[in-house]
Amino acid sequence: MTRLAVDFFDGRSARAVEATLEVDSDALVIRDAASDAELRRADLRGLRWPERTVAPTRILTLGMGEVHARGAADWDAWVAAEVGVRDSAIVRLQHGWHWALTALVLLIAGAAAGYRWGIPWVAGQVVDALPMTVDARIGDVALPQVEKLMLKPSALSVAEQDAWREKFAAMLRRADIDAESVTLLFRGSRIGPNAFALPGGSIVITDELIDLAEREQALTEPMVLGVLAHEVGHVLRRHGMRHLVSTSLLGAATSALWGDYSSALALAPTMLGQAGYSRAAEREADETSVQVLQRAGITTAGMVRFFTVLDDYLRDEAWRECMEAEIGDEEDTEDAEAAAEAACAEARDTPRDAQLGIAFASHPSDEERIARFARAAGRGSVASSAQ
Amino acid sequence: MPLRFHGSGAEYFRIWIVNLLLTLVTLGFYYPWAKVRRLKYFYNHTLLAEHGFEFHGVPRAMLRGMAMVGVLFFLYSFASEFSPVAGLIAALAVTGLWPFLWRTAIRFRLANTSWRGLRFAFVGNVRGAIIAAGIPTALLLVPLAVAAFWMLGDVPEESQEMEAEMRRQGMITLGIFLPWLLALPWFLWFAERYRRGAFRYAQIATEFSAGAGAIYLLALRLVGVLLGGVLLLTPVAVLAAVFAGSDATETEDLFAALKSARFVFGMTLFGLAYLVMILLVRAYAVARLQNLLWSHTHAPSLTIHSRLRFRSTLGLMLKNWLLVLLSLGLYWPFAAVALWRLRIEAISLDLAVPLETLVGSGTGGESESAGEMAADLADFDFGW
Repeated sequence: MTRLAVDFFDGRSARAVEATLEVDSDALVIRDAASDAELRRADLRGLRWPERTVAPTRILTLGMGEVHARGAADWDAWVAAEVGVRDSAIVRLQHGWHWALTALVLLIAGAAAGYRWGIPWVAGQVVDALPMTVDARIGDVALPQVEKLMLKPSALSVAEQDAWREKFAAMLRRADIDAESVTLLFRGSRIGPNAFALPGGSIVITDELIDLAEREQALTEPMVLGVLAHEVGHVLRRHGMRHLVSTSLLGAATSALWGDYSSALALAPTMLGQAGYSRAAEREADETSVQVLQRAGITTAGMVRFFTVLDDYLRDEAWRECMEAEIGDEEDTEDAEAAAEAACAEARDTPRDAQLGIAFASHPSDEERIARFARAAGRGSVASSAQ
Repeated sequence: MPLRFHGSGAEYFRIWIVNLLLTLVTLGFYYPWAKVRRLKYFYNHTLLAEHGFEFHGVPRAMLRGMAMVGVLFFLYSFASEFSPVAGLIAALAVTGLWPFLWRTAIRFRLANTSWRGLRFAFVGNVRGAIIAAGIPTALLLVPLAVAAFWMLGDVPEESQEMEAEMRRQGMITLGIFLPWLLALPWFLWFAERYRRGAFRYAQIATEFSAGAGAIYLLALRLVGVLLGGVLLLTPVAVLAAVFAGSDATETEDLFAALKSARFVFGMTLFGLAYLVMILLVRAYAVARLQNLLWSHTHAPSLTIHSRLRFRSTLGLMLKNWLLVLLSLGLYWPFAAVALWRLRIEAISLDLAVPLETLVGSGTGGESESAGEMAADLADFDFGW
């Protein structure tokens, strides 16, 4: 039984006593170094020994008071020999650099898995646990705010709106979807052709989008109904609520990793992550659109055409704005026009969906979406004839 | 007696990485253990007169308190999405609970900190906590929640009306934030006076002797540094922005311009200038505030000196930021250790009585019950 020289603090005063440690069967005995008198006896089983660190401090906490090491190496050797305490798994994990690097790799893999499967799963569970009335409430609060920012009253007549509602309801019936779960609203838009779904089942479609579809004559109905079916997909799968929950979780996770350091730094991963989830949701909604259209016997060719039509429209708008800006104050000469056209050519030639780069895009690429509906159009003729 | 820190970034990196991994794998449940490990590391290796501090918190007990705080936070952030009434109720609930949680967290932290075997204690009363923590929270959250009722007005048709509406909402928000910001130095002063007047160690009872004016003076100087930073860096920022935007003015096509190399370079420069400006302010605040607060915290037998230099702080923060950015965050533990060392080693204490005369404080009974008190409080501990 060897003894270890330590500093002992009795917990009643800040005085340091030179002492020795000794193990006596089940007990740790602390003796005064000078007089050898027993100062304290502690049950070994109740003691939690300090972990080994590179830095030289070792502090053992007693019920009252503490024991401080004089030299870390001696302490470690004595504890290993006399008390038999081994490094815990975690400490061993922390000590080797190879373990730390393994931990780093696992961390990155775990974070990726958490993003791809973990957060969506948890968000799904949370949303499933919430009643639909929560969705409706949030949608009710959100609608006025959205209207304030982006919408105005519709220019369509009541008769026209009702006609579309009829067709929409008929499609839902044929696709076996409860028409009560969605409400179709018509609005004018301040931001161009658009349609979106709010939590709770309110689907808003803008006059501008309907106008765009009506230029296509034969494909007008399949196009509008296809877009509406896509929005129904968002409603049925409660994407709005999922987005809310997964964004909160994502924000919490990224701030746990980097937020200590800076909330600005944590923002980029959150935005990128959100965009990823958004693209996944758009794919799901497209899938629902395909299914609903097929079950209702409506061709998906409308949707195949839709993306091209929308892109053309947006490019024309951009070109028009560019030309106005260029020519604006200048004289209406041929040279000026030619110069403006050259400058604005890029506006007309660049596909809209390539703008932000795919990482930040909230929707999958147009090509991908067109392909999905095109494949379905190929199958669709078989499905509708089977009905 | 000087303070020294013997920890190393390399060692802390390994602790930090394992903490992160286990916290992620356990979906956050490991967090109290990670926090205890972190605090023990920093405390053990902070040496005052050659002896380190110790943190005694028990992770399992901390788990419950953290879970509760987490749930409250979650509910609060959701409530405002739900309805203005829910938002108001949540704001009132947070305001009511916050002083108690804040005080308990301080008591917990101090009761679980020891030096040379003696525990610290916090003896601040509830009334002080309500004023120190409740009033600032109330003055911010409640008006904001109430204002939410006015924000959901009718949809104005005309753009003029909409502009007027936006201006009105802006004024309301400003009207809430501006007085609060002006009162912020006072809130800070009161909170510090409450806190630092209630630390106990052995027979030492600290008090805080700086006046609110000193904090306001510091705030004023901080604004001065901010303006100085803006003046210094605005030419850089403007040049960068002009450089970046020069392509965009030729075409109305915003998106094409976003991709151009000039834009990227210009925006990076702009971002860096902005960053330097923020760090200037932050370094000044950290250094001067630490010096002010600690130098004015003392007891009859204890004087504390803090001599943290602005230049050193700024230099370290810039270096830390750069390396963390370049290493995608992996440098963070090294940065944390370096900053802690800089701040700690700027502090020194003068004790007028011999250490041996310091005996366990009589507050809350004998020292034997101090451990029990710590266990009682062990329910609560926050994220910091």
